[in-house]
Amino acid sequence: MHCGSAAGNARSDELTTDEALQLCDDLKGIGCQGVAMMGGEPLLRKDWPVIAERVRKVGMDLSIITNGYKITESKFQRILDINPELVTVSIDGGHAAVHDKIRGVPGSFKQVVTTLRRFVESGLPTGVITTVHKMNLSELPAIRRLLLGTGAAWQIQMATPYGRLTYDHVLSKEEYYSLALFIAATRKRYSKKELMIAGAHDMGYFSRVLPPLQVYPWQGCQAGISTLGIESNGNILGCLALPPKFVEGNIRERPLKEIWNDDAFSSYTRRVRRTNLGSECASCTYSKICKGGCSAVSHSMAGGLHRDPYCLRLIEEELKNKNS
Amino acid sequence: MSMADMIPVAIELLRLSGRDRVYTILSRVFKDQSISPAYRRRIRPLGASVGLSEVEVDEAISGSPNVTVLPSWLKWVLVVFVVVVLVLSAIAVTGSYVPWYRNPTYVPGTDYASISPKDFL
Repeated sequence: MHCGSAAGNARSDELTTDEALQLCDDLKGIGCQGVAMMGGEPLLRKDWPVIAERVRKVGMDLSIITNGYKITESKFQRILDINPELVTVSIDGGHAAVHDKIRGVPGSFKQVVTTLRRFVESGLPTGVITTVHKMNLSELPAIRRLLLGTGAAWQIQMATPYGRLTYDHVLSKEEYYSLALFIAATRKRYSKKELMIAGAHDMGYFSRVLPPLQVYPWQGCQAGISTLGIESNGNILGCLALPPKFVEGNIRERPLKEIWNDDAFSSYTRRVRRTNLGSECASCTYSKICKGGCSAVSHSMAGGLHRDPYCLRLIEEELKNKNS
Repeated sequence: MSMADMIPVAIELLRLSGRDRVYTILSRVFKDQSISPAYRRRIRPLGASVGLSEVEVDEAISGSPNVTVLPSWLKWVLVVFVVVVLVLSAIAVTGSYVPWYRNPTYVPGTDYASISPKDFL
């Protein structure tokens, strides 16, 4: 019911193995320090081990984000042999009924929980991502119970209305604040040994009353600055959370280095001026650091960049004014 | 950005730079802003919708340190510090003109660097 990339069958123009391996070398060439293989489902590509090994061989960190479904014994062993810095599974609910409904695959909850436990027991650094929307906001306590004591790190993020998710399933601002409260309360209640939990890096910003929710404080949208999105067909954009209109090149048409070093690339994050910010963001104390929040959320929910309405500081002001 | 705004931004930058200990110390020095009971009542149902009790919500929220209002003890410390610095500065500036030793020949205002018969008049 949600997939930012609206993944389904493989694209007809996906990169070949050789192109993907060259891409690994090119990424290293521009100073890339780490690659996260995600999708869709990255483990469906038959050559995923070859690509993963190349990432490691050229000296970049590797993380794999998987739906944890149908991880055969041989696949599991290959992951262990490659030894990524992190493996992450996606869990959308604390009950099979909810997770399976969202994923559209009966039995997927049972499989992902089994996969999670196997990863943890194998000693691989393991993470869980929960993408939250109206259908699973109330599942958070149940997911927390599931993950307590497992040793996995839990990242919570808000779903944006790209791909298969529709606007009516996106959290309201008050629901978003509930989500933030949940993260803050959980961090307060449980030690890191019991449960490592954090909001995604664009969760929160500069709340007046809540402690930081992220692992590292928000430093402005990093699309095209410290992150780069590469689609399976070689399309390049600053961040894979952004929609197709933000694609700024393809490695089959121009070398990656040229795209990355192009002055015009990702100008919406590399050269932000106060005049680019929405009115509320421009007048904010933290405007220079925050730069109007997450580009993907801002674009999808406010119709423009640098004006992310899902800002805890802003929401607190609105709640206060509603109150008075 | 006003001077008052720069202080919280500077502290946020401190936290970003990883100097958590300094931030923690500053957070302890400056008194937390209070959260009104009315605001708490507004927030609690939002927490309840995700299974949080009132106690959990209250524990999760707290006013951020009000770094624009100095605690009274810190004000006194700063006043004393500034006074001491001013006094020491005054001593340093004037001290350079005070004849710390008596040398009847070489005193400030002497026009030449060698002894002259005029000096003995």
